[in-house]
Amino acid sequence: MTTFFAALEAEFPQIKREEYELFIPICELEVVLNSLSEKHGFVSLCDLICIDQLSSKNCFVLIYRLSNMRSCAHLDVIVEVDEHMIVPSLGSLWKNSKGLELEVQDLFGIQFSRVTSGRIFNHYKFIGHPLRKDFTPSSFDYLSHSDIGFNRPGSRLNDRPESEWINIGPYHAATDSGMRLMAQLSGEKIINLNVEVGLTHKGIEKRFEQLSFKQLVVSSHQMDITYPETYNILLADCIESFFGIDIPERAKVLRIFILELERITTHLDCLSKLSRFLKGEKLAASCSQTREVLQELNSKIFGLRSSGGAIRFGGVTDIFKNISIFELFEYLKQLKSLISSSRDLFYSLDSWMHDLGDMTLSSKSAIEWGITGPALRASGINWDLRKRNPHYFYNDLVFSVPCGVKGNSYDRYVVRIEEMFQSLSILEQLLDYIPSGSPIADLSSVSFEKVGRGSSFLEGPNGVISVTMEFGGKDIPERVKIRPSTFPMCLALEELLVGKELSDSLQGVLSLNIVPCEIDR
Amino acid sequence: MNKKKSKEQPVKKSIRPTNIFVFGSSAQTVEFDLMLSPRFNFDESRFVREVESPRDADVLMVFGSVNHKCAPILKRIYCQMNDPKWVIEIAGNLVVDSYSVLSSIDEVIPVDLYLNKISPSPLDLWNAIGELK
Repeated sequence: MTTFFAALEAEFPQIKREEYELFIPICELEVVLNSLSEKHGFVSLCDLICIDQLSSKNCFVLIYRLSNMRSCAHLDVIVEVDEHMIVPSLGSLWKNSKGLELEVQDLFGIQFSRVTSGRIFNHYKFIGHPLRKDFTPSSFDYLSHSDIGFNRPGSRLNDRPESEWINIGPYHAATDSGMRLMAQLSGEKIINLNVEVGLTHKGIEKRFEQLSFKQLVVSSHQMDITYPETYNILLADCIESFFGIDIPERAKVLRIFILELERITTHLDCLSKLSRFLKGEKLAASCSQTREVLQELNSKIFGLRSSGGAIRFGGVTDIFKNISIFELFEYLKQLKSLISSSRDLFYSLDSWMHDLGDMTLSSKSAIEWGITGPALRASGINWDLRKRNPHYFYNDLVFSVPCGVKGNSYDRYVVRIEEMFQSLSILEQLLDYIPSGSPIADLSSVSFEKVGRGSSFLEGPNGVISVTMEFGGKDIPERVKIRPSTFPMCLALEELLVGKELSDSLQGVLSLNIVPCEIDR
Repeated sequence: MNKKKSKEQPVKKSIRPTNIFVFGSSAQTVEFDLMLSPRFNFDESRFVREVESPRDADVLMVFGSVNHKCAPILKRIYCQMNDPKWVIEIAGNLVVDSYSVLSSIDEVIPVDLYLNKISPSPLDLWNAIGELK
């Protein structure tokens, strides 16, 4: 990286730099980002973070987080923006920037050029910008409904008679729950598609700003249904690494155990959703049988039918209190035989190979959209954060990264199924080595006076999730920004589905496993 | 007189199953799927049935919290249902103190029964339908 920084300083001598943070004036934003993406290999835009500093510096801080996938390095480009300034849009460099800019525009009220005015998460009549510090909620007429997200070209009478708009969702088997698709059809082909999210927007990020670290770690389970603990671990890890809290080895092992268990659950749910959608009754029954074993295991470890409630700030509760190692091995054995029977069933269904052959996501467009996880690996790129930048004990574990060839829906399912086996083997390796001792660190001597910004990354079941926190010297954060793993996939749908037949494309939407409740926050 | 009584309690008098339309986004809908699954098999008993259109439904089950953007859709679904109709709200008060979430759906539509349990088991849902009768 030193050669890169030397080259950058030779090109732009006026840039201020602090380790991996570049401070640039707004007028040079487009030139610098253009050079970074084309010459220096920062091919994907991870996140766009906005922080309100109106009270202290009288400006907003915009952070463009770029990622270099080869060296797995992250670079923050930081710009200070005035309230009334129009920020240049970067749609020509990264395709997912449009959605991220629309999000900032909705929540902070910063205008971007070339982005249509409007909202992405809130109601179109909503007053104010909720993530500003001076925001006060006011009542408005929310019962009026408008299809404002779906600007139909011209009036209905002017539409060509052969093209028609069709509504899918918000509660449809293909769109999971809370996402709405609006497709314009010509014959059976989709010629235009609009995606509406925000139907389950809960304002979690605003709520996090009022919670102490201990409360925040526990209450972040609301982010998602199938992998709540992954978010708990992510937030706990971000705070711990910023304040230099060393968690015990036992806690690290238990956290990896929970992460991999949730990965299996998510992949299994994705497979069972598909089998119910395509009426594969035998596979659905096999999946639900496996799910029941998982629920039994969950109730032994967590005390709940789903995972949750085990992660604490500074460690984990002792989840192996009520279960012996032999019992755990027995459960893993049972899971392995059940999942292999599901796999054999899936591979024996030859007609599905044709049904799921559509919706190819090429490796180039996956990187341009910023897609990670099984969807990226199915397109042939061997990129897993657990291998590239190992967290906790991941570099001591033996596992491989399954990859696809074509990048179609079938490959995505194959990758998911094979990943379940890798996760099972990780769980077995972990059970061989469980350190003794307390799984929670002693937090009595920790002071929260450090000021700054910290971030953390994790390989979640559907891709990389990350969090950025701004700390202000108290035991509550100033700002929490979460990057959900499925948001780029949701944005990419508009490109992926156009030109496909409607009947073939819905299983493709399922194979991406988009989680609207995670996107909406 | 008889007519009036049957109007008050038509669910009990009728032979046909109670048709339920499910509206919800949260994890709790998983439990409703479980309720109709072979393990519990309330579907087979022919007393409860999930329908695809609100126009066929007697009971509207709303799972989880509803926000401003979803409220007009909920209202439209309620208006599409035929009289007599009932509404059950399940775990509607999970998110509090938020700028976008309604405190309860009774700001939008009338509610007959509140089930304030964070993760209701299939048996709880069954009892809630029984309570309406």
